[in-house]
Amino acid sequence: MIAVLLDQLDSTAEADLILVRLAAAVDEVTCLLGSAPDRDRVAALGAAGASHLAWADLAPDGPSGPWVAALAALVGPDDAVLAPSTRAGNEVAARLALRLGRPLSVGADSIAVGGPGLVVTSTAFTATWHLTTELPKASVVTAVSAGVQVPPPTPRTPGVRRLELDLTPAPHEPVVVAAAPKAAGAGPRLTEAAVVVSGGRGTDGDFSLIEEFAGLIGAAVGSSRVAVDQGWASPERQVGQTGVSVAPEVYIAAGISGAVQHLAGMVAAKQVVAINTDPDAPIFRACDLGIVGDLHTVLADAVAAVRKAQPVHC
Amino acid sequence: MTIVVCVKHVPDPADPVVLAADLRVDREAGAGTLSGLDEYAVDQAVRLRRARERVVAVTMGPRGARAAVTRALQMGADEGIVVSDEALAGADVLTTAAVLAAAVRSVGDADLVVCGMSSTDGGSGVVPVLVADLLGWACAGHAAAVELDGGRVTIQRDDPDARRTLVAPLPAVVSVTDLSGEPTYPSFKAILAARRRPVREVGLSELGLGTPSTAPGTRTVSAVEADPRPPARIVTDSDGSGAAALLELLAGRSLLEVDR
Repeated sequence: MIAVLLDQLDSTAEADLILVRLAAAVDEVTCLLGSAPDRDRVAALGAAGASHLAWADLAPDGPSGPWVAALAALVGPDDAVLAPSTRAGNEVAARLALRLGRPLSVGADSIAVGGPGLVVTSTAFTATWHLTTELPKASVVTAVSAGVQVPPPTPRTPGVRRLELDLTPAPHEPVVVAAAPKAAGAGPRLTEAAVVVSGGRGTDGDFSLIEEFAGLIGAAVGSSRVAVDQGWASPERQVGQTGVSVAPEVYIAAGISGAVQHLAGMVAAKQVVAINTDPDAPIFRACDLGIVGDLHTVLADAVAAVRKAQPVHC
Repeated sequence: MTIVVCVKHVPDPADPVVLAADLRVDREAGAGTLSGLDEYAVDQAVRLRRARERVVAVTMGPRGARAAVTRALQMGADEGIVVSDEALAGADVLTTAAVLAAAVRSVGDADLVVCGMSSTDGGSGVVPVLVADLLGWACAGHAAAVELDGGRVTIQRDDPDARRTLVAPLPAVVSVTDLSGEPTYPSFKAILAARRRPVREVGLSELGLGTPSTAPGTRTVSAVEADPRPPARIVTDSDGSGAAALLELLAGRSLLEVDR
């Protein structure tokens, strides 16, 4: 069996289904959910290949300890565990590996049966290296969902059961005392958009053309860390090692110099377009199309051209 | 009480990565640097230092790793500990966390450990929470802001759906993001002053640890360098040529045809 950790705060329903499909190619899947699934969810997870659904009352924004305890109760000595490679997912996975004395592999982009049990692949050092790692079956693995090759699902009709466990957090676990919700924002999610348009220092704080162009073509808006630091973009827009990792068809970096920490979040994009006034910016060595020019001019021209071609939407 | 800040010496991210024959990172190959995100951790530790307290910078790594502690001292840490042992070459995250936890214990009166949210090389970001679990302490990770208040630590954390405020009792481990405030860079005077601060070099036995298990469970069986990206097509924008090239690329992938 392979246990799959779902319902993490920083994962999405779409990413959870990708995780289930990755796991279903390895073994019979048991999902851990944070609440009782309704009929649609049971069907969706079954269609992705889940055989069993185990749930407990586990708040996605609660401490990781109870999630670790629930997984520990779920897995037997020969079972594998797969979690999303997000901040929350990696935390639960690492704590579980420590608690159970299991090997840990973080950030896989594929997982298969082989070697001593499992073979996972991952990229390292801003995707300049491809690594293949062998682990025993009874390991804890976390996997990315952006841009991974997902095996075709084998539909199942999963059984649902409630985990009867005391999941009271330990007294030292952190407690959420306040939450300021963020506006959902218009347009597609950064992690799911086919096109991402990101702005950096070169915007000089003016994201209006980036937002206008993104809105016109149904793209998501991202940003560099500098733009977040300056207060020009909100933190959840930040693409990079310390922000979101994206894998769109096309990534457009507007006024972004291309620090290695930013590149780490966008290397999985199929095509990269860079717009920058500095012909020596490092981003021009990490793109497919480099436009040397002012991003405001280029995007204003692009907006005008798209509007002209779509007169109905003017 | 004492604040411990964990720092890592990493290959300069701008240099190509060199892997040794055993597929581990060759940490002696090039000039290294203090892992970029750890600068935020040092800065926060120094800022949080209360009256009559000290900040101890701890690192684990080969001989050159001392440079990370030196940098932390220049940024305001009071003392340093360098854990260096040949048995630690290629240590995984669990071993690293066990060594750092033992170093924290050796400090005696630490009640707060500050880490960067991730290293710039390994980058799994799980060492802080493992250190916390090994010490039996709270872990408040990925803080964009940290404050101490009596026996508690309060952090601000940016989640995709909300900015949350979390509280944990001390002793605790906190990891900070690069939104926790730009680190202040040391003056020449601070660099000179750092040379007089004590740095203790210890091996595993001095921390009461045995040689790490030789069966780590995971084994990297191949490491292949990615094909270099072909040189970009460069268009110098003139009279709309930049926008034309951009739209042509999008249209070629049918990304302009969606009716919105």
